Amino acid sequence: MNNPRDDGTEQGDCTWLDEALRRSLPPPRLSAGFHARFATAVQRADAPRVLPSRQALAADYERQVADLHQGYVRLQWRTLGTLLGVAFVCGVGLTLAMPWIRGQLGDWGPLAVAGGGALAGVALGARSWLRPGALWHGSR
Amino acid sequence: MQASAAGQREIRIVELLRSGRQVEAFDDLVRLYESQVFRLCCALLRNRAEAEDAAQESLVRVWKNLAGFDGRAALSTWIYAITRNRCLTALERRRHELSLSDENVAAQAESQAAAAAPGDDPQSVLRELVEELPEKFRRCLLLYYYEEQSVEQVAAMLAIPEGTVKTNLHRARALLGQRLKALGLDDAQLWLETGI
Repeated sequence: MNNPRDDGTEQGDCTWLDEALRRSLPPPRLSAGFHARFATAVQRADAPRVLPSRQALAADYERQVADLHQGYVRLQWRTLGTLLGVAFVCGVGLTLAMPWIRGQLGDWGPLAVAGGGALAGVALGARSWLRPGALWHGSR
Repeated sequence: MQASAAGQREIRIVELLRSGRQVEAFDDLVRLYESQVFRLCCALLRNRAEAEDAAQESLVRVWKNLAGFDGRAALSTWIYAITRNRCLTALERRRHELSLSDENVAAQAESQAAAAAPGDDPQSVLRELVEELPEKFRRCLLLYYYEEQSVEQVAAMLAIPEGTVKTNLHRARALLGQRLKALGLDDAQLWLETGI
């Protein structure tokens, strides 16, 4: 008596055919390069999600750089303006103090003061070129 | 035992999804289903390279839509549905391309595929006979042997009742038996004792 199998055939009917098919139809396997290609495809699929946030980050970065640049230019102008202002104020101060200087140092007095000021200015300028920032933060 | 182990893994994947660990869930999902997805594509598309492409596209689509998986259907059911749709799209595309190509080329290819000389290796002959089966029989038969003879698995992959799978398998075997008999290859000893 043949008993029906789970797959609808009768036991003993086609055992040889079943075995022949099992041997002739092995399960196909994925090729060696599949996983690498798949990983790339998943990354590409993610790009549309990532792109807007990247663009937002890039725009934010550009904005920050522009702000920093504007701040830097503003600082440069302020520094230059401050220096010019201080120089003119010093000049006015020295002019007003000139009679006293002549009285103290004689005819060489104005020249000595001007020379000292020039030396101080050259020294400050040279230091700012050779060691930027050292003027404010001291030597390191 | 295998089915319950796969079921446990599927439950774990769904739990990972619910807890927001999508990447981890997808990694587990790929490990569990990539071979089955590929085998389903092979059975539907008959072409290994196309099957790999379709498997890749299917899994990428699963990844893109994973956040929206609501758990109403089983995860495997959902994945197989996506895979079948990709394969149907590929088949439609292929039909369209063939209809535009030289008819003689298609006819030649068909006749070459159908030829089965008695002197050929019996396994090759059997594979060619399988390829000549009506499509619904061929798919059931291939997946049945790809999936270690599980009717339940074949039914899930093709979204057809188990009874239909059994019927198709029975008819496929009957057809193959007739054709092997016509070719003189229906000797059980030929297949069993010689280790073919």
